[in-house]
Amino acid sequence: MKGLALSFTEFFQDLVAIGIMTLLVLIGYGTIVDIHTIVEGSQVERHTTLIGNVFLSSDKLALVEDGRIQRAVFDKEKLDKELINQNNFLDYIKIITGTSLFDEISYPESRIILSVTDLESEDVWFLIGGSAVLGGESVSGFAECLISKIKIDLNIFFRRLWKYNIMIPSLWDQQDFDSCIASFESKSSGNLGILKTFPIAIRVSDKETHVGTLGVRLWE
Amino acid sequence: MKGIATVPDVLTMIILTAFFLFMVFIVLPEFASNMFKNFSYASPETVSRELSSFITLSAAAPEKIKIYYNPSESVLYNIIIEERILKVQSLGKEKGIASAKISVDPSGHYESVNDFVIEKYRENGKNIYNLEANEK
Repeated sequence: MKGLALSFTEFFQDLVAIGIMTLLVLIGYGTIVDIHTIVEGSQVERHTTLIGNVFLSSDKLALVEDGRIQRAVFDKEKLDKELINQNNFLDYIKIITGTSLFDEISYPESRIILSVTDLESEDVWFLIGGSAVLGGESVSGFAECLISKIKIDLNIFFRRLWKYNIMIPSLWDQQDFDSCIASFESKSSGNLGILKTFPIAIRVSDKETHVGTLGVRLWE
Repeated sequence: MKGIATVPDVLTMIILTAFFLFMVFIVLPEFASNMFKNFSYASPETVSRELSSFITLSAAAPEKIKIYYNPSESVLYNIIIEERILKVQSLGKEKGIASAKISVDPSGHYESVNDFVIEKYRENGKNIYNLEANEK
């Protein structure tokens, strides 16, 4: 046959040689090459989603009826107990003392801001936690920021008195509060962390339930 | 060396070539892909991430939940959970230790295991977390 360069035996020998080389390469992967897996993806984002879901089912925040936890239905009384009501001056001591909520649910070596907003009454509860916050400068920085912005705005004061029938005046308006949160965030090396928001219901009384949101911002 | 090929020889060459091409382009890539997939699923990084996520996720169940997890049939692991850090040491081909955070409080030490049952339930108003680990 014209053009045929190799005999059948030579062709077969070459084929076997290529097969052996391929086999050696494959075996080499298993014995010589050291394999390490690198997991790609945002660990903080995953942790934020997970811990947010844990808060939704926590009996520290959620309503318990007939011994059963009502997931994502928060109890206003528990929010007042475990979190800081933005309108309650005395609650701000919890920034320093903390509450049992983060003792029970938190990631080690991380910082977290939990906020619950009642979209109907516009009440806001929040809590700041995490080892780096409670032991470091961030708490004092946050507290200093709030103290520097204390003011009794008579308009806000009387409006809240009229609206909520409460005797504790609001010492900060929403802008002050947001400003201090932003300051707290900027001290985290410009890292804004990851924020996840979850829809919730807030049981205000036996006959009244409001729509709200749970916000979880996590730094690691 | 030039040689003479008969018709049966040429047919055999064609069949062998087709078989060789089939092995090189279809079977071997599939084999390599499965091998690397198994390595990655069974790696300590993946197991620590998955196991820690399952434990944290179990806390999101309002009442009780049971999660079964078997990352590998052949690779065994040493597991240490303390102070909300889960450490996984692989005893398989891919050596090394990986760790991951968990947000709740189970703890325990397990050696040479690869089959996990994560259970969360409530008892007297308290959340109980239980991790069972065995060799399958």
